[in-house]
Amino acid sequence: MEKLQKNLSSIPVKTWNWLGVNTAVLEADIPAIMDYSKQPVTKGSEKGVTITDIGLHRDTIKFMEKKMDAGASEEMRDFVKKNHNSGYFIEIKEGEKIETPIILQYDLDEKNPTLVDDHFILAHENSEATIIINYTSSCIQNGFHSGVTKVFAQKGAVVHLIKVQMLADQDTHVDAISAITDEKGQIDFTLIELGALQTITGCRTQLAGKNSTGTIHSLYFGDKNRKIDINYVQTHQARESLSSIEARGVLLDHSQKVFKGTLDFIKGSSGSKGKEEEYTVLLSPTVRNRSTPLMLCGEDAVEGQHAVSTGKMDENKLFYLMSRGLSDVEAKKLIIEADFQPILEKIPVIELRDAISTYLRRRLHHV
Amino acid sequence: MDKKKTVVEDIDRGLYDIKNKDRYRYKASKGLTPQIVMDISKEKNDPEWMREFRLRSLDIYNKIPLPTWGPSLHELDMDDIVTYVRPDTEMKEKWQEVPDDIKDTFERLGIPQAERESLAGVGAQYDSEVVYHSVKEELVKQGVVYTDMESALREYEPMIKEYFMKLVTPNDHKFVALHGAVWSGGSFVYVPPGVQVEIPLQSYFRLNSPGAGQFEHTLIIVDKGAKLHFIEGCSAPKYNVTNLHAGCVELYIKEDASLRYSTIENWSRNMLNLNTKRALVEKNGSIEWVSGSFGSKISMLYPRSILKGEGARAEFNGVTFAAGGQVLDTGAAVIHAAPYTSSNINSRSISKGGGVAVYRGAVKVAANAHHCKSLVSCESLMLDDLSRSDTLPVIDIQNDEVDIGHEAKIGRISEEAIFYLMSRGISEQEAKAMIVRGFAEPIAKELPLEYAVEMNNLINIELEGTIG
Repeated sequence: MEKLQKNLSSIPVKTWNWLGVNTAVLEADIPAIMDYSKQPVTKGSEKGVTITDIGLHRDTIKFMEKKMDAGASEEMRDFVKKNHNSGYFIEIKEGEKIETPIILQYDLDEKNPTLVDDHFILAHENSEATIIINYTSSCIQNGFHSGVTKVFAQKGAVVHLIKVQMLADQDTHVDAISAITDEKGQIDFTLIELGALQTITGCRTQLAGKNSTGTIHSLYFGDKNRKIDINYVQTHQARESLSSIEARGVLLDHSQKVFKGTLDFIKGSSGSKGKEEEYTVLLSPTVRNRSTPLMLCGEDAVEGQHAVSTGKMDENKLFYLMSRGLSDVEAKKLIIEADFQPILEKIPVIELRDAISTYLRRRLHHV
Repeated sequence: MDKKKTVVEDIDRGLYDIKNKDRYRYKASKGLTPQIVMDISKEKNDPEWMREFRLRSLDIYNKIPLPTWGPSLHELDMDDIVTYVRPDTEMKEKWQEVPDDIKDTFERLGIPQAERESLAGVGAQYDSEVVYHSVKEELVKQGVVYTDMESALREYEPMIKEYFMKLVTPNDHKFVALHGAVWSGGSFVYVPPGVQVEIPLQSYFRLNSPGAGQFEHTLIIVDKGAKLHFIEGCSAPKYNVTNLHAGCVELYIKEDASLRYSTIENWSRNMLNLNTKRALVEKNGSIEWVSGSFGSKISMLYPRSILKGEGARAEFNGVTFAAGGQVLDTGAAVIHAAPYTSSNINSRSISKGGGVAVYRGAVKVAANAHHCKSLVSCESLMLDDLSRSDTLPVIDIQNDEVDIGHEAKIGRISEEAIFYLMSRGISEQEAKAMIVRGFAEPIAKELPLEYAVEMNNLINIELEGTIG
C-alpha cells in the first residue's frame, strides 16, 4: 500500500527532486474497499452500444492492453484490478454514431463511501460516441474514489470522454486514464476536477495511428486546503498525428496544484503537431501553483509548442465590470465563469452543465 | 517541396585537440580516499579549517547518492580519476615566464592576444592550478582584486572563509560535495563599492592531463554599486579516458551591483562536465548569464540565480549545440526570494547527428516575493531525426501577486523561411545556414565580439556541400 501511495502519477522524464513534481504522494490512507451497491448506468441503452460487466471481457482486454501504455503505476493497476467494485466494458459497434451520451453517474454516500471503478471503452471502426462519467459525493468524511479507464479508438472512430469530479470536501480522488488511437482515430477528453480534498489524476493518450488526433480540455478549481495533481501525456507515435492540451484553472485560499503536461514526439512521428496551454488565475496570496510543461522530441519534422501563463485576474476586466455596478466578488465570479465557459460548453448535457455551474457558483461565494 | 534533411557539419575541434606532454610537479593518486584529500590539502598548504572542510565534504560525497534524474553517469568511475595535477610551474605574472608548451597552448587559443586587445585582466589555469594571472594596474589602484584562489586563500583568508561554499554548500548534490573535497585552482575577484570595471576580466581553463579532473573554484564578490563583466572559457584535448570537470562558481552581487558572467564551454568529447554555478543577488542588483555549451560528452549545468533583495534581476541567455555522442543537459533556475524581483530566461538549443539537448529549468517564487515577474522562452531546433531535444521546465509559484509566463517551441527549420529567403535570391544551402546562425544570434549578440567570433567558429557551418 505504501508503495502505491508514493509512486502515483510519475512524469515521463524526471527532474530535480526539490521541486516535488516527479511523482504524487497520496496523503490519506487507503480505506478498506466496500461494495458499491448503486446502479451507475443512467443512460446508454441505445442501439449500437453494449455495456456489460468488465469481468466478462478480461481476455479481450488483455489482448488489447498489449499495445497500450500502462497509464498508471503498476501498483495502482494491481490495486484497481483486485479491488474494483464497479466496472464496465463499453463497446460501440462498427460504423455506429451514437447520438445520446452514455452516462455513468457515481454518487458516494455514507453507505457507499468507497468506489474503485475499472472501465474499458472500445470504439470499433468508424464509430462515434460520447461517454460521461460523473463523480459526486455526499460523504461527510473520507469518501474514496480510485479508478482506471481505458479507451481504444479503432480506425476512424471518435470517442468523447467527459469526466466530471465534484466529490465532497474531505474525499480522495485518484484516477488514471489511458487511451490509444488507430489510424484516423480521435479521442477527445474533457476533464473537470472540482472537488475532493486530494485529487491525483492522469491521462495518457498514445496517438498510435497515422492521422490520429488526441485532445484534452481540462478545468480545475482549488480552494480551501485542496491539493490537485494533474498529469497529462500525449504521445505521438505515428505520422501526421495531432494533439492538444488546454487547461484552465483557478486557485484560492491554501489550495495547491501541480499540473504536468507532456507532449512526447517519438521517432517516426514526422508531420505531427502538438500544442499545450495552461492558464491559471491565482486569487489568494497563500496558494501554491506548480506547472511542468514537458516537451520530449525524438523526431525533427514535428511542431511542438507549449505556453504557461500564471497571474492575477485581469484588472481591466474587473474594473470594467465593477464600473458597471458589480461588486468585487460578483465581478470575479463572472470572469471565472466566463473563463471556464468554453470548456464547460463541451459537455453536451445541459442538466450536467447547469449542475456544474451551480456547484461552482456555490464554491465561489467567497472569492 | 521535397522534405530534405539538413546536415550541419560537426564542430572543427582541431585547435582544441592539440595535446601537450603530461608534465606535472605533483599528481595525486587515482581515486578518492581521505588520504588523497589530505595529500592534496597538504600539497596546497591549506589552512586547518580548509583541510577539515575538505574531509567533511568527502564524507558528504560518500553519503549522497547519484542523481535519480538526468543523463546516466554510469561511466564515471572515481577510482579512475586523478583529482589533482599541479602543473610543472609556479604561477607567473609575466607571460614570458610561463613554460613554453603551456604558453603555446594558450597562445593558440588566443588568450594573451585577447588580453592585449580587450581585457582588463586574464587568468589561465592549466590542469589543477592557475599558471598565469595579470590585471591592469588602474584596476589594482581602485582596489579590484583578481587573483587565483590559492593566493586568495593566503592573502584574503577572512573574506574567503566568509564566502567560500556558503552559497553552494557541499550538501547540495554529490558533485559539489566532491568539489568541496578536492577543489583546486580557479579565480577570486573582488570589486569594491562603486567601482565600474568597464572592460571584462577573463579566466581560461585548460585541462591537459588525461584521466584527470578539474575542480576549479570561482568566487566573485561585486560590492555595492559596482559593476563587472567576467568571462570564462574552457577546453581540453580529447583522450580515450574519461575526464571530469566539477567546478563551482559562487557569485555574490551586492546592493545595486551588476555582474555579467559569460561562458563559452568547449570541453572535449570525453569530458563529463558536472559544473555548479550560483549567484546571490541583493537589493536592486543584477546578474546576467551568457552561456554557450558546445563541448563535453555529458553536461549537467544549470546556473541558479537567487534573487534575495527587493528589485533584484536575473537574466539568462544560453545556447546549447549537441552533436553526435553528446548529452547536453543544460538550463537555468531562478529563485525569486524577495518582492519586485524579475527574471528573464532565453534558451536556444540545436541538436544534430544523434546529439541530445535538454533544457531543464525552474522558476520558483517564494511566498513573500510578491509583484515579481518572470518570462521563460525556450526554442529547440532539431536538424535530423537521429537527435533528441527535450524541454523540462518547472514553475513553482507560492503567492498570487505575480506575472509569470513560459513558452517553448520545438521543430525543424521552417520550409516557409527557406522558401522566403530563396525567393529573395539566396541559395537553399545559404538560406538554411542563415537560419541556423540566426537561431543562435540572440545569444551570440550578448557576447563580446571576439567571443561571438569564437562561437561562430564553434558552430562552424561548412557551407559547401554539408547543408541540404
